[in-house]
Amino acid sequence: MAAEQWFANLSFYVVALVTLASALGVVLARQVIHAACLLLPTLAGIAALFALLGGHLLMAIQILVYVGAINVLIIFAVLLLHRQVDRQRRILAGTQHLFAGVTGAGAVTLALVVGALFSNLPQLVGGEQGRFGDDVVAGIGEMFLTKYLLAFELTGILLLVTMIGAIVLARKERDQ
Amino acid sequence: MDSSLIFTIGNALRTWLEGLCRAHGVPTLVVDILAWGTGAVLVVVLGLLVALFVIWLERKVAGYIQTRLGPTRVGPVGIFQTAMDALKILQKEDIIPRGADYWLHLAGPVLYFTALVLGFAVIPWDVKATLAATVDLNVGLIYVIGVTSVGVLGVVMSGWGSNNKWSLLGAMRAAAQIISYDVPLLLALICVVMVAGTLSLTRIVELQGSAGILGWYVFKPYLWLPFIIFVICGTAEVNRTPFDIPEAESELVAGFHTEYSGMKFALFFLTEFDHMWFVGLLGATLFLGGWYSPLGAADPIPGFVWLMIKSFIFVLVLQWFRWTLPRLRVDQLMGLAWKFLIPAGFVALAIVCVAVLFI
Repeated sequence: MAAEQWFANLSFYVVALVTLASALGVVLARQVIHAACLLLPTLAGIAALFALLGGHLLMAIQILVYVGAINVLIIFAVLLLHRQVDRQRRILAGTQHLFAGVTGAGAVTLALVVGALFSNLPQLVGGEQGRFGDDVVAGIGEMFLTKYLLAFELTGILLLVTMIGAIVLARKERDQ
Repeated sequence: MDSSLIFTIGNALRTWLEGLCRAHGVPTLVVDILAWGTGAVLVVVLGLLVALFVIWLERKVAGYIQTRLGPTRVGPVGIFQTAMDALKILQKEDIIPRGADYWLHLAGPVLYFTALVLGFAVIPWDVKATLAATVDLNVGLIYVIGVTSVGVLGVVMSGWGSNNKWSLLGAMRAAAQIISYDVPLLLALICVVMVAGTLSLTRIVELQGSAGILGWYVFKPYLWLPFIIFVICGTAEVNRTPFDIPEAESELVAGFHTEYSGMKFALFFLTEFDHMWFVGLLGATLFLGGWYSPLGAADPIPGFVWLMIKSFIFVLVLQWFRWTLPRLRVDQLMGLAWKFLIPAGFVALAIVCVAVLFI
């Protein structure tokens, strides 16, 4: 048991190190495209942390939404807007290092705080699994349709509005 | 079927290795890690071997469809041709174009390959496959979709990192195509999940085994539309003709892997053929009853073999598509996804809703 605990700790530290290092890379990267690509190990590392805590649903959703969708979107934006971003970077060149340093320090501090909170998280996750039994997905789905129905429906409406907004914006561009 | 041959041999081998390790005083934890590691390595090696075989099969199928013989020289019916090609490509020079982004150029193929291999972790190979590293994840299907969608990033990275306009155009096309076809694919998979009532791939297979061959989801009429959508989107996901505009040879040289040579190119090549097999495995698991035999429970053939046969039916169908259909244009491709497949997916979802409620 002690050996397994030790192994779990080791995996946590390796994953945390990778996540933090790539997060620092995101902030310190000279090229925007490198920063955008380094988001991948950062977000995937967070997914790995969820997996270590036994939250498999959260891990899968984290990969699907953040890595598979949001990160792709960011990289797309960088590819399409690269020239403009370059120009802005030249304007910001003087303050860049200061800005990067402050943000990096902030990120590390935040990560340390989150790390301190992690000591409580295993119990929380264990509690969820205890409440829902084996089938966490079904349990969460039921909560969505009973206790959190209003929030769930509101989120749905928000997404619908966003989608319609995106279509309207895209059409206006084309008409001009 | 529990006493299938592969299963028995695998377990015996594992017990023997574990005993050997314990006899020499290796701690249990190390033995466990070694067992997981061996399973993971076995799955990857199996994937690579199957990729070699699929490439050979592709050349044979292409040959017969075009009334020629395909490879014949190396080994009986040319079976070792691809293995020799792999040895040759190992010795090739790795060329990185001037002005290319070194790290992105390197990370592209690696990520493309890794994203696919991660998906193999949850494929249920056999009844209780302890031989391979199969994880019965509670959210297996979401995991598969999430992990394989990361491969797009590899394509975009390599397209950008190559500093070549063909590569970049190919990468943009690939990303647009994969993201578009993910939507109807997800709709088709949701139909299966609704019928099964679970996201675990192992559980989905088990539910299909209850009523013999007629219990397979492909024989349920309300799942025919999702099945067709799955096959079309699966073809699009692996970038094969008629959906191979990301690497359209007549327009874009080779698309996103134009600037790759040596092993990096081989990694792209292997991943594409492995991905085709992966779509076959997923289709066999979700629609064709996974490891279950069509002959009933008394069948002596191991479930793993049945899974392979079923997945190769998909592979052969995809190859048949490739060598008989012409390539679509970009606008036709997007039109098919957004104007036809997504509405069809919603119709399928509605049909399955009614079926689940009333049947």
